[in-house]
Amino acid sequence: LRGVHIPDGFMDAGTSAGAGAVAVGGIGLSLKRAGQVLDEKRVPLAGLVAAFIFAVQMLNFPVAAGTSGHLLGGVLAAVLVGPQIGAICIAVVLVVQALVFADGGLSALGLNVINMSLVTAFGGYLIFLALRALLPQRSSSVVVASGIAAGCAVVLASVAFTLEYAIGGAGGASLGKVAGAMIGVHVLIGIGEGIITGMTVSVVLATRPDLVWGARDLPQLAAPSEPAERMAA
Amino acid sequence: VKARVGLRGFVIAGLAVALLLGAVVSRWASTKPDGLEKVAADNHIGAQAAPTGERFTPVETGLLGVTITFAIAGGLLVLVRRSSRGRSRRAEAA
Repeated sequence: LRGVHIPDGFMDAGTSAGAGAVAVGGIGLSLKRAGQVLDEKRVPLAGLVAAFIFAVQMLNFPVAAGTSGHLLGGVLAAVLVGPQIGAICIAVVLVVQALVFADGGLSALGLNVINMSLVTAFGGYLIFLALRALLPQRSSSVVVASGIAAGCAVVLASVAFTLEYAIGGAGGASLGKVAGAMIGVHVLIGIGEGIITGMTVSVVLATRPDLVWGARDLPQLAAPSEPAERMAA
Repeated sequence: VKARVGLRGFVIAGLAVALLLGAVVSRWASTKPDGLEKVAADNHIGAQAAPTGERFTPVETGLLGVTITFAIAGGLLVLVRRSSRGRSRRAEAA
């Protein structure tokens, strides 16, 4: 697996440790809240969401000359299983990548969890909710809002990286230059993120709309009572 | 009325798609540096480590990664659900 996340040595030790503490706190709160909203069908679904995002993160797509991008997946996870469980799913992906596949530094795990799990799942989901409030109450709006929110969330993640670089970046380049390059390329990556997210959400809405957390307010998609459905664990 | 896909079928089909994407489709993924790597290299952020030998082939990474991620995320949430149900039962009993 190619290294695609922040490796060791990008930020100084204090910034990395501080980010670790924020990440542990954010995921800890998410776990606490997840316990209140988890129902039987969301457990295997969340496992699937994490596994699917691991796979799609491997699919780097070309963006500009000599550069590629890949899915971050925070909004996709948040729209499918809710922001708390979604953030946990992405954090699991990042931990597996760092521990098993040496992708992303261990000391940078907190930074990667903040940028790719907490910022995209919670920040991106807020954008999704704002768009849902503006758009008509129908399932196509869920697809459009997911796609746009996902694209914006990638830009938010690059802004978070830039802030971390401003606090404790280990490099000589000026903040303005890093900010411009980082945010610029992630606007392009965000377009890919938006397309992949919108497509995936529309496939789930077409097959099992009742499983989409971000569409559970739409009455026509609500799950019919089906007591026969049980997933043996 | 459209026939609904069962949850078990949905999860199995989804995992099959994920395995296919990770183990097979990933061979056509771009090998160019991603946005973060490119910006870091252009701006000399951090030490530019020499590429190290890969521990796993891409096919192994796809198969192993999807399986391990599903097991850990699913297992973690089973524990979260159990502990939260235990807590609410204790609260009722109290």
